[in-house]
Amino acid sequence: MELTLLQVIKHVFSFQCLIAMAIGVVGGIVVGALPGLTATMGVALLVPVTFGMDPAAGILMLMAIYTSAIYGGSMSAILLHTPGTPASAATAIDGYALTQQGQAGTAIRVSTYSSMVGGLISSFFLLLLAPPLSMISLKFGPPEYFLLALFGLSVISSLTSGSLVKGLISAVFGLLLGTIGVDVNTGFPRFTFGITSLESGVSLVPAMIGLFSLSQVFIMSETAREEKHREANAIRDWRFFPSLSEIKALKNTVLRSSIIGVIIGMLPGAGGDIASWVGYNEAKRFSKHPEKFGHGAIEGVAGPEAANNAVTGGALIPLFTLGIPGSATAAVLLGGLMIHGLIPGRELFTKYAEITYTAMVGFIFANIFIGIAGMLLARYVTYVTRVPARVLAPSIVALCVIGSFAIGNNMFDVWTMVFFGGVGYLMRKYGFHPAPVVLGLILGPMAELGFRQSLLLAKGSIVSYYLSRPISVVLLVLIVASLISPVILERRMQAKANA
Amino acid sequence: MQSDRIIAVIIVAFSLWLYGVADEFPKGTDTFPKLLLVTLIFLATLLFAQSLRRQRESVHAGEKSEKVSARNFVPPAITFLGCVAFVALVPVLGYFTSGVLFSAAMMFYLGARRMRTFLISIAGVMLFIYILFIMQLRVPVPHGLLF
Repeated sequence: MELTLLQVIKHVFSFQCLIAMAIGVVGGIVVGALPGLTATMGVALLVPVTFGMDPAAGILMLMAIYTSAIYGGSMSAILLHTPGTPASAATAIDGYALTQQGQAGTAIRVSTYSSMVGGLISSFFLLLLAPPLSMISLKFGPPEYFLLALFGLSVISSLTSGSLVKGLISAVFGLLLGTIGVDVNTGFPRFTFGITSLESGVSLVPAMIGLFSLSQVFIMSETAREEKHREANAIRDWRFFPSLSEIKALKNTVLRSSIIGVIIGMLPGAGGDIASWVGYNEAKRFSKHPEKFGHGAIEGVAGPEAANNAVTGGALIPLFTLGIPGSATAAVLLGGLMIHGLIPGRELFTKYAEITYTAMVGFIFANIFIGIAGMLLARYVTYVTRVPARVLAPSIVALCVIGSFAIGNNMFDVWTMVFFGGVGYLMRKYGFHPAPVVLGLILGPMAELGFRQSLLLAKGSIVSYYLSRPISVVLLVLIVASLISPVILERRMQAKANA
Repeated sequence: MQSDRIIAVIIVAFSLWLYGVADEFPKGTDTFPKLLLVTLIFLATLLFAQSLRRQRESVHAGEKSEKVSARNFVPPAITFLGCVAFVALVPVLGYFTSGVLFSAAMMFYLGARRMRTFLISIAGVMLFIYILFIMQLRVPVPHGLLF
C-alpha cells in the first residue's frame, strides 16, 4: 500500500506525536538553556523514554530535543554570557552585548526566529534529499559497508577530539567493545569472562547514558561546591513578533547561515559548534557594518543561530541514508533508531516509510513549534538558568539510573551505565571524546560482518578485491582524506602561528 | 603530556593481555578482534611518540607542562562512589528510597543547605520519575524492603 502525505500528516498530528513533540521542544529548550547540559546528553538521557513509545513519536521526540537544545543554548549565552551548549559560544559575543545594552528581548527574538528558520530550512533539505540519497545504500556490498563504517569513524575521530590519534583510539576502543558477546557465526562467547549478561553484547543505551550523561555529572561535581549564585539578566524589551525592519536586515544572513549549516551538518562529524562560528564569520564578512560585531550586532546573533540549528537537519541526512552521523548528537540518535529496530538505509524509506516520513515531517512542525515555545518561554528561562549544579547533578543521576534500568529491566544495565560513566569521565579529562566510542560500538557489528564477508568474497588478495570496486575506491579515498586533512590543517595553522 | 604516555602504556598492556585472550578463540572468530588490538597497539605507540616529541618541543621552548592536580579528582570520585552506593542499595531499599537518600546526601556534599531546596528538588524529581516511568511507561522499578 502506497503511503500518502495525508496519512503522514494524520500521524504527525496524532495525540502521541504531538505530546512527544511538545515534550521534546520544551525539554530540549530547558536542557539547552542550562549551562553544562548539552543536546547530546539530553538525547542520551531520553532515549530510554522512547523505548515504549510509538517509534515515530519516539524518534520525533529525540529529533525535537536535538534541535531545541541547540536553540536553548542561545538563551543562557544571551542572558548569562555562558553558552548553554558549545554550539552557542559564538552567539554569546553579540547576544550578551545586546543584553548589556538593555536589548535582551531583541537578542532572544532574533535568536529564536533565526533558529526556527535555520531548523525549518534544514528539515526541508532532510525531507527532499534523504529519500533519493538512500538509493546509494542499495549499491553497497560487504566491502562498502566495512569501509563506510571506517569512514564514519575516521571522520568523527578527526573532528570531535583535539588529537586525531586520540579520536582514533576512542573509535577502535568502541569497535572492540562491539566484539564483546557471542559471535553470530560460531556461537563462541568473546571477552565475556564468564559473565552471562555480556553474552548479548554491551548494552548500547546504558553505555551511551554513562558516557554522555553520568560523565557530565562528574564534571559538574568538580566545581559545584564553589559555584556562585547565577544572576540572569531580565528581559525588559520583550515582543513576540519581529519587526519588518529586523526581518529585512536579517533575511540574507539567516538564509546564508542556514545553507552553511545544512552543508556543515551533512559532513560527517562536523557539528553545530563549527557551523555557528562559520555562520558568525560569514555574517561579519557580508555585513555592511562589520565594526558593530562584538558590540551588539543583531546579525552576530542571527548568523550563528541559524547555522547551528540548520546543522540538525543536515546531520540527519547521512544518518538516515547511510547510518553515518553528522554530529555527536546524531551518533546518539542513531542509538535511538537502533532500539526501535530501525536500520539506516533504503529500508527506512520503504519498509519503515511511515515512521521515517512521520518523523521527518514532524521535524518541520517541531521547528515551527520552537519559534512559538521559545518566545513564550523566554521570560521564564531566566529562572531555569539559576538552577545550581548541586541540585541538577543528583537529579540527573536519578534519571540515569532509572533510564538505563528501563531499557531491559535489569540491574546489570545500570552497572554498565555506572561503569561507562567512570570511563567517560576519565576519557573526557584526558582529551578522548566519547562520541567515537559510541559510534564504534554501533558500527562494530556492521564493520566486522562486512570485513569477514569481504575476506570470503576476495578469494585471494583482499586489496585488489577492494580496488576493483568503484564505490570502495571512493570510500578509501574519503577515508585517507579525512585522516590527512586535520594533519595538514594543523600544520598550516602552526606555520601561520609561527610566521 | 606525561599522562598521555602513561595512558599509552596502559593501552598497550591492556591490548596485549586481550590479544592473549583472543588467541584462545576459534579460527575466524579471532580475526577482527586481533586486527583491532594490533591497531590499538599501533595507535598507542603513536600517542607515546607524539607525547615525547611535544615534551621535547616544550622543553626546548621553555614552556612548563600543565599538570592535572589529584585534588580535582576528589569530588568526581566521591560522586562516583555515591552512584555505586545508590545502585548497590536499589535492590535492598528499592529505587525511590535509595534515590531520595542519594539525592539528599549528594546535594549536601555539593553544598546545598536550605531545607526548601532539598524538599522541592527531591520531591519534584521523584514525582516526575514516578509519573513518567511507573505510571506511563510501566517500568517495573525494583522494590526493596521499604518501598
